[in-house]
Amino acid sequence: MTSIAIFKWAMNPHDERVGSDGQIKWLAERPEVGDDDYAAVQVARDAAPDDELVGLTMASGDTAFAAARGAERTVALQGVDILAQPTEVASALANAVKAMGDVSLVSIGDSAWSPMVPSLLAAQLGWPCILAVDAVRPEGDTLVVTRRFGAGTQDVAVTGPVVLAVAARREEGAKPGMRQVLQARKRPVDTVTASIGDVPTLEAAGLREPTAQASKLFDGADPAAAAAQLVSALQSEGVL
Amino acid sequence: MGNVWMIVADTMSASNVAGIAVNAGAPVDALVFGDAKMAEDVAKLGVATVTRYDVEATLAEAYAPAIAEKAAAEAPAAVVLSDNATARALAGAIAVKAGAAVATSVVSVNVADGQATVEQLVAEGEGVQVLKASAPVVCVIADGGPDAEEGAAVAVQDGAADAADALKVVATNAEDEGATGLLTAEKVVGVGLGIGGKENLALVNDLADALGAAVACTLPLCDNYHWFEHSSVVGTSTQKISPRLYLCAGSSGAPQHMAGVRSAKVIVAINNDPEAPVFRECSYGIVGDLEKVLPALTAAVKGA
Ligand SMILES: Cc1cc2nc3c(=O)[nH]c(=O)nc-3n(C[C@H](O)[C@H](O)[C@H](O)COP(=O)(O)OP(=O)(O)OC[C@H]3O[C@@H](n4cnc5c(N)ncnc54)[C@H](O)[C@@H]3O)c2cc1C
Ligand SMILES: Cc1cc2nc3c(=O)[nH]c(=O)nc-3n(C[C@H](O)[C@H](O)[C@H](O)COP(=O)(O)OP(=O)(O)OC[C@H]3O[C@@H](n4cnc5c(N)ncnc54)[C@H](O)[C@@H]3O)c2cc1C
Repeated sequence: MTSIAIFKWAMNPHDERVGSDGQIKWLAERPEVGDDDYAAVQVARDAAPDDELVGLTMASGDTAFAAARGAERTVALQGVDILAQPTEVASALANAVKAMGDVSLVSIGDSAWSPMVPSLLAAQLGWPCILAVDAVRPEGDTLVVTRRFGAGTQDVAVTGPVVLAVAARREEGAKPGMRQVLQARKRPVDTVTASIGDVPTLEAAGLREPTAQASKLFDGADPAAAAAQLVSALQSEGVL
Repeated sequence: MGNVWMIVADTMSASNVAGIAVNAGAPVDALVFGDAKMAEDVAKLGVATVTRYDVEATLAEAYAPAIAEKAAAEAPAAVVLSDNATARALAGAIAVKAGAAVATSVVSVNVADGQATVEQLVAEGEGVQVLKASAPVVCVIADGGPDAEEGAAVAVQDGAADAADALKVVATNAEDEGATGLLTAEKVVGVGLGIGGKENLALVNDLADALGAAVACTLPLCDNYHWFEHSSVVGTSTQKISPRLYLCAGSSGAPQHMAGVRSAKVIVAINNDPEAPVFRECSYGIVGDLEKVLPALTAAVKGA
C-alpha cells in the first residue's frame, strides 16, 4: 500500500495583488511551502510506517520537501493554473491520487490559504475526511486520528482509506539538514501533467474596492494625547 | 430548490454565517451539528428552518455522505459556512455531490432566480471580486462580517441521517473552555514579543484591569518564553476569539495570530513600527513605544 503526503500545493495569499490594470495578479508563480506541509508529511509517515510514502506536489523548482522528510519518491503535477479554483485544484490532486493505484491514505496541510481543497479532494475520491488533525497512531487495522475539537481534542478511529488534513501548531522543530536535503534531491521525481475533470467553477464578473475604511492611526510621540484620542474613538464605537 | 443552506458546527461563527446567509435574498435552511443550545441560538437568527443533527454519539463528519445526498436532492442555490473544520468537511462532500462550485473569503451572497452571485475578498482585503455561479455554490465566509439580527425563534427539528461507519469517536478530551475566559470575554488585551521583558507584563495587566479585559498572547510568549500557558495563545495553533474589543500591544500581526482575532468587532494595535502588518488589519492604532503608550492608555481609560 502507498501513503501520499501532499505539499506545496496552495498559493500564498500574501502574494496576491490588484494591479494597476484592476486585475488580480500573483507575485509568485507557483504554490509555496505551507505552514502545515511538514506536519502533513509527518502524519503520513506515522500513519503507515511500513508503507511506501510518496510526495505529491504542484511546485516546480525544489520538489525535495517530502523526500527530505522520508518520502521515497515524489510526483510533481504541472499545468495547474495559479488562478485555478478550489474545485479544480482538488480535481487535479484527486486524479493524481487515483493514478497511483493502491493508496491507503492521503495527508495534506489543513491550509488557511485554501480551506476547501482537502475536503473536496476527499469527496472526489469518495473517501471520508478529517480536518484539523494533530496526530495519528495505527492500532491494528484502524487508524486513531487525534484532531482538534472545540478547545480540546478528539480521537477518531478510521477504517479504510481516508484523507487527513493536518494543522500544525507551530513551526517545524528539527528541519532536515543539508545532507538530508542533498540526498533527497537524488530521489526520483516524476513530472506529470495534471488532469482536471469537468468540475463546476465560478465566473469572475468584476473587481471592486472594499467598503471597509482604512485603519485610523494616532501618533504615539505624545502618548497622553494619543491615548485620549483612542479612548474617545472607542467610546464612540461603543466598545468601552 | 433555490434556498440558501447554512451549516453550523460551532457557536462562535454562527451569527456571522447567518449575517451573510439571511441577507442572500432566499429562505435559509440551517443545518446545525451540535447541542440543543447551539440549535436554539441559530433558530433566532432569521432563518426559515433549523434542523439539528446530534453529534453526541457520532461525529458530524460521519454524516457527510447523507447530508451530501440531501443537498443533491434539495439543490440549494448556496451553502454558507465558516472555516470551522467540521463544517468544511461536510461542505466538501456537499459540493461534490451537488455539483457546486466553491468560493472562500466570502463577504456577501446574493441569490436571484435560483442563481448566486458571490463577493469574495482578494489580495488580503485590497479588493473584492464578484463571482457568478451557474450551479450551486459553497461559500466559506471571511471572518469579521456583520452579525445577524436576532428575532423570533423558529422551531428546531431533529435531523435524521445515516452515519458512515468508517469513522468512530473513541475519546473526547475537552479542555476547560473557561480556564482563561478568552472565549467569552467582551474585551481582550493581547501581548506580543514587543513587550520586551517579563517586568513589562505589569503594564499589560494594569491596562487589562482598567478595561475589565482578559489577557491573551502570541505564540512565542508561550513557546519560547513560557510566560503564558498554551491556553492563553490566540491564533491558528490554538483558538479563535470574538471579543467586542481586541487591543494588541507589541505584536507584528502575523497571519497565524490575526486568524484568531479577525472576528473581534474592533481591533486596536500598539506598535512602534508604522510598517507593522498589524496596522493594516486594525480599526485603530497607536504608533509608539508600548512602554510609554500603555501607562498613558491605562490612565486615560481610568479617567474615562
Ligand atoms: C478594484 C480595483 C481596481 C483598481 N484599478 C486601478 C486602475 O485602474 N488603475 C490604477 O492605477 N490602480 C488601480 N487600482 C489600485 C491598484 O491596486 C494599486 O494602485 C496597485 O498597487 C497598483 O500599483 P502598481 O502601479 O505598482 O501596479 P502593478 O505593477 O500592477 O503592481 C501591483 C503591486 O505588486 C507589486 N509588484 C509588482 N511586481 C512585483 C514584483 N516582481 N516583486 C515585488 N512586488 C511586485 C507592486 O509594487 C504593487 O504593489 C485598483 C485597485 C482595486 C482594488
Ligand atoms: C504553524 C504555525 C502556527 C502558528 N500559530 C500561531 C498562533 O496560533 N498564534 C500566534 O500568535 N502565532 C502563531 N505562530 C507564530 C507566528 O507566525 C508569529 O511568529 C508570531 O505570531 C509573532 O509573534 P509576535 O507578533 O509577538 O512577534 P513579532 O512578530 O516579533 O512582533 C513583535 C512586534 O513588536 C513590535 N515592537 C517591538 N518593540 C516594541 C515597543 N517597544 N513598543 C511597541 N511595539 C514594539 C515590533 O515592531 C514587532 O512588530 C504560528 C506559526 C506557525 C509556523
